[in-house]
Amino acid sequence: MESGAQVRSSTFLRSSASLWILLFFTGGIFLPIGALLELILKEPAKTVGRLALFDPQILSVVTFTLKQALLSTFVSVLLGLPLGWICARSASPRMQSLLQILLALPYGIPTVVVAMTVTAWLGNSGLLASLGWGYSLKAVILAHVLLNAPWIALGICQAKVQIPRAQIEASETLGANFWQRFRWIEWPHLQWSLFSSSVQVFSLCVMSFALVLILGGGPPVETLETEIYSRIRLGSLDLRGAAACAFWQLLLTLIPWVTLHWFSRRAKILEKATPCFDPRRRTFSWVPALLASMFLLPYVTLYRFAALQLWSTSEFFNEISGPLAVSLKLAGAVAVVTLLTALSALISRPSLKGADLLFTLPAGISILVLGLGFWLAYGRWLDPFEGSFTAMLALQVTTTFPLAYRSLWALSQGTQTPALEAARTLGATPVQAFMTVEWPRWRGPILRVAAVAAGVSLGEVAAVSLFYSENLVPIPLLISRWMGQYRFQEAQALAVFLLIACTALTAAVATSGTFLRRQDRLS
Amino acid sequence: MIDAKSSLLRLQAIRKTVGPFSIAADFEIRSGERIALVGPSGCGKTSLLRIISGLDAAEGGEIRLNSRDITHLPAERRRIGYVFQESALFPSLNLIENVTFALRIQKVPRAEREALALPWLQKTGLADRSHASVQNLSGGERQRVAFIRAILSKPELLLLDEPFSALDSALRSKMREQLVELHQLWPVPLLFVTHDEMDVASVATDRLKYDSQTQMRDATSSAVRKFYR
Repeated sequence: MESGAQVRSSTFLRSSASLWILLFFTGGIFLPIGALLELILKEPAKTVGRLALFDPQILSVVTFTLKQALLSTFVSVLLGLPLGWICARSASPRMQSLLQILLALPYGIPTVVVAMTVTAWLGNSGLLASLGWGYSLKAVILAHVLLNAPWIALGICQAKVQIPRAQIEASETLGANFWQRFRWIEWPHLQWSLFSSSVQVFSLCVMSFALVLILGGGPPVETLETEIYSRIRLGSLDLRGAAACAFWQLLLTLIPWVTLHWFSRRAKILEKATPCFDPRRRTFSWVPALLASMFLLPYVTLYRFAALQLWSTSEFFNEISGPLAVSLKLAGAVAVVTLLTALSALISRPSLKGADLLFTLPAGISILVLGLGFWLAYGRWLDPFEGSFTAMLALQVTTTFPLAYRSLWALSQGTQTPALEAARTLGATPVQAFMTVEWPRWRGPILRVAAVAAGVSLGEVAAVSLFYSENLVPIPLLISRWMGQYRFQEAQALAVFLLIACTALTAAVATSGTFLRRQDRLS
Repeated sequence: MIDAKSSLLRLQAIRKTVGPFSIAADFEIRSGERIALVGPSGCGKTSLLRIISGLDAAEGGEIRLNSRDITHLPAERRRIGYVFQESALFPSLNLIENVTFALRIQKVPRAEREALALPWLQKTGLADRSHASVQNLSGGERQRVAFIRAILSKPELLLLDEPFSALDSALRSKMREQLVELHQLWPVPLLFVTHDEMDVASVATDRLKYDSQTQMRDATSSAVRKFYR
């Protein structure tokens, strides 16, 4: 039986969490998107034929955006599917963990570092400059594939190792050959993973900003993201045109997001086994390890090109100290606010049908679209040309929130109620019971969520490009500016720093589960 | 064409190292026989079934099925029906698709496949649920589906790994009767693993003998678990 004080504090906690979530969604999503739609719809009816929405130039950008996203997704799937399948055949569990870390690492690399690396290979003085792919659609697709093919492979690999081994063996005893086994037994387990990761990759390619901006080399390689950016921050200000692009961008990103939700409800939940490894499948361990490393190898060249000696010069250090402080402050703030928001969402637990859908909505909206909405909704207080740390923070948190919420939601479903009740009967207060029973389960995931949020913030380019000022330039933006000023050596040296920081964070997240379990055992 | 009534499985000097010990097997099983494989946990019963079915390879010896040497054939070419302990139904396929899986692999037309499966489903009371998802079946129903699936592949030998272990006692005794009944319709040699003496008494026509011996080799001793008749 809870005492009156406990009931009051629990109600207060839930009300505060609900209020914060209401503010977050109203102020961070609904008002900005509403302001954006209002600007588009305010256009006089008599000019319908000449609506900015149907401007031929904007429509051609829509077509190009779709083309590049589809091509990037197609090539990523083409490479990711067989890679994931081969990696899942590795017999040793230890090798399997290593492979999954290798496949996860590229996803944590900031886009500006990917752009820097592709430039080092394909740029005018790059190793493969003779191919003539530099600053073209091919360079953009290559960069997208470098980032996303391992992500698709990871999904396939994780799905394949969970197929119950007895099902594969049963099909063998029933006479199925390799292709028949794949078609009838493995494919039904893999198809949902492939579909969901492909839709995510498509959506990310539509929302890709830094890669297209840096590697596309301007028109004709222009997507909705770069078009929105150039209509706001480059040349003459064209808010109506930017809003029209944002409307199309919203359509292109929300459709995959809704599709994914619609299908995830209907997807057949197939029996899953604890990952088990078939010792008969003796694909040489080094083959999948080598193939998985191929997506990391290009970054090694950054070390070769980078003028690392710059690190020892005081001029370089003076130049980066300001941006470094901004980046670290932003990353720390994003990690804390993301965690608090995700925990608030879990605590408030609205009984609303579709709350889950609502909480993942930000994943279907591009940062630039939301940033434009921020400007339109809060223009009285917010001027992108004067810079805004709060706007950067809010935009980055909307990106990291869905991921944090989903990670922690899964954990919240496994609350150890009997153990909590047992602790209470033994005289523990609710806080003591929570700290004894639940905290050991939550500690690791909370740290991981914070690390992921900080990593995303460290490498994020869109929000900072929109709301930077001369006193508010984070590291990724500095790299991109140095590249624009042809200061490649400095840009490469800084990219190496960002690469190490983000890779270390991703590796820590990927391995921390094991590490924390080991700590628990030791204690 | 297989003659289910005159099949013969022969294992000669089969051996395999399984962890800290070796298993050895020497026996024959004829059509109509239902032989129980009984022994303490971890003595290698399932390993022996896996070797016979081709899911694992033997380190020595010979397996002959109807005078065919199948020792080195892959599982999919041995024509051996295997019923797994956890039934191993394919969740992406419905009940009838599961039981006719082997016929589909053999490219038998759909109508013919279903016609072949129907009498078996009627006999086991599953005909009215033929298009149901296998994920909604009870433990007993899953085992029946797994057994019919194995029989419809027209195997020359049936191997059953603890087929009743997941069932409650009432269902077990019903399933034992049904297994004997179904086996009489396809009386190829049948070898099944069990821990339950009641299974042996009601289903088996005989049981394999089991010995645990210690062998000396190069001044080191190793345990050998031997199955024979």
